[in-house]
Amino acid sequence: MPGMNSGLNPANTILVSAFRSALFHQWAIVGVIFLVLLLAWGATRGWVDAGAKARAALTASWHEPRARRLLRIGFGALWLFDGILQAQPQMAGGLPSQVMGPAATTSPTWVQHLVNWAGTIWSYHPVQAGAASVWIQVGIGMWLIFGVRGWPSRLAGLASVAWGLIVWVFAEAFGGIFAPGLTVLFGAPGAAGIYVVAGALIALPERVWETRQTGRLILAGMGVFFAGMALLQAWPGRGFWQGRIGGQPGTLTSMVQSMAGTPQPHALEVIVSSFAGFTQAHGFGVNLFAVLALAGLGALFGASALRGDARLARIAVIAGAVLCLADWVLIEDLGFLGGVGTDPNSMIPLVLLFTTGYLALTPAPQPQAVAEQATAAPAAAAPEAAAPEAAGPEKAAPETPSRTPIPARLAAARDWVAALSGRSVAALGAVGVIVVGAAPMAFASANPNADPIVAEALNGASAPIDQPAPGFTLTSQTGHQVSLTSLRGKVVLMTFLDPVCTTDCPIIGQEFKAADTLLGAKASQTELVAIVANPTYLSTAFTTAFTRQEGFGDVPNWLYLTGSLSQLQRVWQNYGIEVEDLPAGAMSAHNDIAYVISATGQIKQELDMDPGPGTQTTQSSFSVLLADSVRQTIAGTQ
Amino acid sequence: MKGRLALVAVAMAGAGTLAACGSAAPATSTQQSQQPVTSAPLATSLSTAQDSWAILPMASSPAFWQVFVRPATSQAWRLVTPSGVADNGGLVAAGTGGTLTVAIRPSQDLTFSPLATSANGGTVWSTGLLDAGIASAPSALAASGSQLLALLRNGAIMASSNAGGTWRTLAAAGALADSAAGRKCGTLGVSDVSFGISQGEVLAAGTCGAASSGVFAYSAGSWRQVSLPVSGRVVRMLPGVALVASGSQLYASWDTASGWSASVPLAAGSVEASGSLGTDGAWVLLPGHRAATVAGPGQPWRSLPTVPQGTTVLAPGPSGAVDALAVGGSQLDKLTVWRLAGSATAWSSVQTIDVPIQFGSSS
Repeated sequence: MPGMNSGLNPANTILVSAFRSALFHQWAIVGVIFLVLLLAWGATRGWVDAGAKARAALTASWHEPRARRLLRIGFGALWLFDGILQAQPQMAGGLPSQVMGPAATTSPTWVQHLVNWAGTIWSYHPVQAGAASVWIQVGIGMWLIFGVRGWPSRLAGLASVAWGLIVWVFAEAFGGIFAPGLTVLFGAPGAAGIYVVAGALIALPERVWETRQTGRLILAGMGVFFAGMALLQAWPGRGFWQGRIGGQPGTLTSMVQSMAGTPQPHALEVIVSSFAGFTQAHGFGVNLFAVLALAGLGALFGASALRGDARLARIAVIAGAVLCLADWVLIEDLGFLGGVGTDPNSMIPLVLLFTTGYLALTPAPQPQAVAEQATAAPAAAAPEAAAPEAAGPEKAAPETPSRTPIPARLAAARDWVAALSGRSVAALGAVGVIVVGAAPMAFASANPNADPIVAEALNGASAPIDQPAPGFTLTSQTGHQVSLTSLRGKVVLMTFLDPVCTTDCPIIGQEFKAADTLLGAKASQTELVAIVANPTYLSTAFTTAFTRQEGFGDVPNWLYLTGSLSQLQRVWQNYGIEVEDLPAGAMSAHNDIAYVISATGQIKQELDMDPGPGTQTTQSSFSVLLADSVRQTIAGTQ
Repeated sequence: MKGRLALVAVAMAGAGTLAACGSAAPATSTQQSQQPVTSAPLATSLSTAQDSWAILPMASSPAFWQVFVRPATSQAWRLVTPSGVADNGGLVAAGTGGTLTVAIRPSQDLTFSPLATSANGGTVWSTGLLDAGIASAPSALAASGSQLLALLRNGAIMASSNAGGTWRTLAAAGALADSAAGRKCGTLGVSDVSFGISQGEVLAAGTCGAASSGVFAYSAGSWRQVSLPVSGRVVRMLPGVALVASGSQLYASWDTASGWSASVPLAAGSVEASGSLGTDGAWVLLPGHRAATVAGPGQPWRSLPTVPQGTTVLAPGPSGAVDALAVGGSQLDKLTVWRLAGSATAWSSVQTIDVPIQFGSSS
C-alpha cells in the first residue's frame, strides 16, 4: 500500500505544530460561529411575543422516549470523545501508517486498494485531514446531543451513519470482516459499524420509539449477533482454542499480548499482561467460557425479544454489560490509549445498543407534568406546533395568522428562530462545526499533489536568500558547454546529483521532473540543472545514463552538467557541497541541496532536498515545494 | 482501538507472510525464455597474472560487497573495493592478464552497471559503463585481453572490444533460445558467458530443462552446441574450464586442445560458492562446511578439513596453500583469513582485516 505511509515520524514537531495551529484557528472560527448564533438568537427572541416563547418552553419540555435519549446522548458523547481523541498530536502524521494500513494488512487486495486510496489522500494532506476528523466527529457528537427531536435530530443520525460508514470502511477496513481472525472479543465487526447502526436508529421517525416492537427488534438483532459471534468463536482451526500453538502464542493470546505492549498506565498494563498469561496457560478454558457466554447472551437476548419479556431482557443486559466491560478492560485494553487510539473500541457502543433495546421494550410512562401541559395547550398539541424547530418556518407559519404587520413568511421565520430552544441553537452550531472541519479537507483533497508541509516537516522550511550565484562553465549530457551566465533570463532550479547513486539522487531527479510538470507553462521560463556530485563516476557517459534512467530524455529544459574533477570541486566549494567517496562499497556522500536562482542570477532560495524516506507522499510534497519556489521566484523577477 | 487493531493485524500478517514465502507462481514460458538463470552465488575468487582476487559480501540487509586481493608475491590479503558507487546489489568480476574488471550490479533505483577496472592490483581503478543491468551470476562477465562479454538481466549478451568503452549487442534477449542449437536443446535461459581457449571464441551456457545445461559456441552470428564429457547443469564457467553438477556428482571439466575432459566425480549435492577456477585447479565450497579442491585435469578431488565458521569463499593461497575467507559472528565488518598449508590437516587463522563498512550509508 504505497500511499499509506508518508514515512514521516508521526511525532514530527513541525507537523504536530501545524496540526495544532490548524486546530487552534478552526477552534476560533467555531467560537465565532457560536457567538453569532447566540447573538442572533438572543436578539430575535427579544422581538417576539410571549406565545412563541411559550411554545419554545413547551418544546424544551417535550419528553423524548428514554431509549432514544440514551442512544442519542450516548453515541453523541462517543463521537465527541472520538473527536477529542483525533486531536492527539500524532494523529495527523500517524493515522494512515499506524491505524489504517495495518488494519487492512490481512484483508483482501480489493480492501487494501480501497483503504490505500483513502490513506493516500490523508497522507497527502495530513493537517487538513487530521483537523477535519476532529471537527466532524465533535460536530456530529454535539449535533446528536443537542438535536433532541424532529428532523434536526434525525439528520444528526444520518450524519452519524454517513461518517460512521467512512470510518468503518477506510479506517477499520470494514471492521476486519473480510480478514481472518475475526472475533467480537477484539472489536468485530468494528466500533464504527455499531455507530452506523445507532445512527440509523436515531434517524428513524420518532413514532417508532413509541412502540415496544422497536425494542424487541433491537434485542432480536443482538441475539442473532451474539449467537453468530459465539459460532465464529467456536469455529475450529482459527487458533482461539489454544493458548499456544507450536510454541507460539495462540490467536487470542497474541491479541492480548499486543495490547499489553502499547503505551498505557502501568496498572492497566499489569492487568492485561496477567490476562495474557492466563490465556496462554488456559487457552481452551478461556475460549470455552467466551463461546458459552456469547451463546448464552445470544439466547437470552433472542428469548427476551421473542417473548417480549422485560425481566429476561434485564438479565441479558446486566450479563451482557458485565461481559462487555470485562472484555473492554482485559482484551480491548480500553482501546483508546497509546497515542493513536481513535475510539474506545466496540464494547461500550455494544452496551449502549442493547441497553437501548431494553429501554425501548420497557417504555417509561409519560410524566404527569408534561401530560398536563399538553392538555392545557391544545393548540400546541400537534407535533409540528409543539416543535417549531422540527416543523420548519413554512409549517410554523399557519400558527401565526393574525400577526401580519410585516410579510407573513418573514414573521414566521422570525418566530421560528425565536422559538428555537438553546439546544437547537447549539445543534445548529454543531452543523457549523462539521463544515469548519470538512470544507478545508474537501478543498485540499481536490488537489492531487501532497501538501508541502510534508517536505518542510522532513527538512525544515527554507529561508529566503538574495545573493549572487557563483558562476560556472561545465559540459552537458549532450557534450555542450553550458555556463550559468548563458542561462540568464530563466529561473534555474539547480541541484547536485550522483549519477550512480542508488537512492536519493534518482528520487530527487524525479521530484525535479514532477515539479517541471507542475509548473506547466512556466516550465518554459525555468531550467532544471543538475551538477555531478561524484568524484569518481563523473564522465558524460554517466550523466547520459542517468538522464535515460530517469526518463529526462523528453524534458527539454533538463541539463545534467559535469566537468573535470577540479572544475567540479570548484563548483562544489562555491555552493557549499561536500562530496566524498566512502570506502567498502558505500555510495559517495554529498549533501542534498537545491538552489533557486533568479533570471538575473541571484540565489533566491536554498532548499534542503534530503528526500528522507522517499515515499510517494514525500516525493509529491517536494515537487510541490520546488514548483512553488520557482513560481515565487518567477513572480519576483517579472 | 484502531491503533491496537493495527498491531494485532501486523502480528497475524507475519504468519501469513511466512506461509506465502513458501510458494511462488510458476514463470510463464515467455518469461523463462527472457530470463537468465543464476548458476551460482556471486561470492567467488579468481586469479589474474599476478594476483588472487576474492569477491564476497559482508554485513547484511543490505550486504556490502568487497573486493580483496593477494598479490602472488604476498602472504597477505588487502581490501581494494572500488569506491564511488554503492555495491549492495553485488559485484561480478572477470580477469584477464593482469587486469581485473568489476561490474557493479544494479540495486534500488540504479538500473545500469558502472564498471571499475584495475591493472595494478586494485591500487587504482578506472571507470567504465555498461548501460544496462548485468545479470546476477558469477560468470555474467568475461574478459579476454581488451574483449569483454556481459550477460544482462534480460538474458541479452553484450560485447565490447575496447575494455568496456563501447558495447554492442552480441545476442539479444532470447536469441540463443531461438537459435537452432538452442531450440534443439530446449534452452530456456543463459546462465554464463565466457571466452573459449581459441582466440576470440565466445561461449555461453544455458539451461536445457530443469537439470541440465548446454554450452554453446558463437561464431558468425550463429550458435552451435559444444559437447561436454558429462551432462548436467553448468554451475560456473570460466575460460577453458567449467564446473558441472550431474545429479549429486560434481565434475570439473577442462577444455584442452584435444577437446573437453572431465575430472572424476565429487559427491556434492550442491555448491555454495565456486572458488577460483582455472587450468591449475578448482576450489569449491560445499554445504555443511565441506570443501574440496582439484589440482587439474586427471587429478583426483581432495577433500579439505571442515572449513571455519563463516567461510564465504575459498581462494588459492601462497605456495600451494588454500585460503578460506570467513565473515561472520557478530563482527560483520571483519574478514578472517584461514589458511591450509599444503600438507596441513587443520586451518590456521593468519590474518584479520577490518573493513570500514559504512553501516547506514545505504538502505
